[in-house]
Amino acid sequence: MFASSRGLALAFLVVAAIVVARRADDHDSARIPQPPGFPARVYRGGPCISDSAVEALGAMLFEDPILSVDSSTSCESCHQPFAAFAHIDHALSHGVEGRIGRRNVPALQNHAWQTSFMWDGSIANLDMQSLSPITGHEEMSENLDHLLQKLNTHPTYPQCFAVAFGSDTITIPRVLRALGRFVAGLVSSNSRYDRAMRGEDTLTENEQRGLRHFRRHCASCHTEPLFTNNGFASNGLQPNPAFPDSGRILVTHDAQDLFRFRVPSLRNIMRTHPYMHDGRFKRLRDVLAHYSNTAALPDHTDPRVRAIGPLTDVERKDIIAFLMTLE
Amino acid sequence: MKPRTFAPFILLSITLFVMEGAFCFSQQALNLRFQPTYRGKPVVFDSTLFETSSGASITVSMLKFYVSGLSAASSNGTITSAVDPLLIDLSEPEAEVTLEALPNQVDVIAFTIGVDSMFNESGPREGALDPRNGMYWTWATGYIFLKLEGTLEAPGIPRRVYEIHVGGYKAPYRNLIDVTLPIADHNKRDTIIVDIAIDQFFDATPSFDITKRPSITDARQASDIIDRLRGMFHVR
Repeated sequence: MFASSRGLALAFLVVAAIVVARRADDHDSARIPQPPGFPARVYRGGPCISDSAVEALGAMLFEDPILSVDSSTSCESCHQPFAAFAHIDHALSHGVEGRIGRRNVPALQNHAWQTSFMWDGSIANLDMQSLSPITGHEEMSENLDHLLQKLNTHPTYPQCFAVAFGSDTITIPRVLRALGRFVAGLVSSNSRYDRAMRGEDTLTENEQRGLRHFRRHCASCHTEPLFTNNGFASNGLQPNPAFPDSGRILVTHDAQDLFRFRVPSLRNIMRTHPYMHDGRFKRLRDVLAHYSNTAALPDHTDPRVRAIGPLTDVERKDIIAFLMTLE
Repeated sequence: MKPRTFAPFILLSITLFVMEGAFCFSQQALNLRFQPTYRGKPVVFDSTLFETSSGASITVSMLKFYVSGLSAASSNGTITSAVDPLLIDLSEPEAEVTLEALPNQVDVIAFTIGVDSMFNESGPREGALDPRNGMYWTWATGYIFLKLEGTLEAPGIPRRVYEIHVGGYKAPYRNLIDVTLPIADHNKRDTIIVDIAIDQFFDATPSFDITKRPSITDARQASDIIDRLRGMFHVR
């Protein structure tokens, strides 16, 4: 009796191990690292045949203008790999036929730990996010049936979908999941800051002073190690008369969300200029000058921003020196 | 748009599973047929004009919605369908959703128009929830639960389209519509016709003027009209 139940338990363990191993293999997102100190990953992905093939397929789709209605514009057109997947020197970006978007292109990094997407948090799941730029009038303006028709008659995509998902059936959910999986794999966790925190590098004196100022004035929203609290706040910008944008209230209809926007991560910030939701500041020193000028803050400003107070020139330079370590 | 000459309805046979209690199964199917009407008359999409109580002439070109958690109850217990929402498109009468079987002799059926937060937040899915079905808001709150569209004309108002899009799965604008329909005559019958009385949306009190609100396309606005939409569903 004892022996046989031990045998059963052993058999169960073997089966469970196989199931777990299969899951690890089959489930997309399985290969995304979990850097020490990061919170638990939010991104879950979905079932697939090969996680690496889904990610590679996502990378192909990401740089392919086939996603846009006139095959002119890819994700990469505005999310440039050399700019931490933001759009360098573009306050606002242009989609098909030169249509101008409403908000500054964000960097793509550590989205596997992000709880909602877009400047206003309108999208709840990373795998659903790319639906917005693909179909958006000012972005790729594509029709989903037309997109499937193009992908199905493409010389290589059907084969790539087969390798990734187990059949060459191309569906919109599979397109979205491949793109989401590619973006989820863009992880920033090895900057000089990270290495210094792990004891593998040291920050200069300026940078260390900058880190202290940063922790005192900025970290309640731009919280380490992601350098965002995944929240929304009004950072004290005057509404832009040229591009009226009331922010998250458009999604929640909650009066408290008027002029609130996502708290963006500051990782790779030296590569993602210009700054703010409308790209109004070209340089980091403009951003620091804004936060330092508490006299000019409008009523809707978050109290944490109001509390920053005037920063000296040296403090600002130190903070910028520290931010440079986030690359 | 070409007028259709037949009454649009969908025959829906739904697989039900025993969830609680001992339910007496018969092997016959219970079919649900959704049938849109206006003051008792069948609606012909894109063609029939109806007069609303506020004086507008309307046509209907689309009535499309998600049904979640369909259940049927008798004194013996309750049976509930699979959790995945079904997409019912009454403007495509050719589309017949044929699923497997089961029981009859029910006292009450219940379902929810809408898609709950789990499906809204868990990423893309194939089938009824594929964004290709045109039932997804990319800019706000996820799935659109119900679309009612058509044209309207009124004295002094040129012909234009109206579009009623209901969605919103989060408080304070959580707009899932729970519908419970008693079945008066529960003698053995294998088809229950669910009448969707579109006039209840346009004409029920308090009055609603479609010419003033021809476009309802976000969760906050939609929260005003949930009761009107719930009131459309009846069993004959």
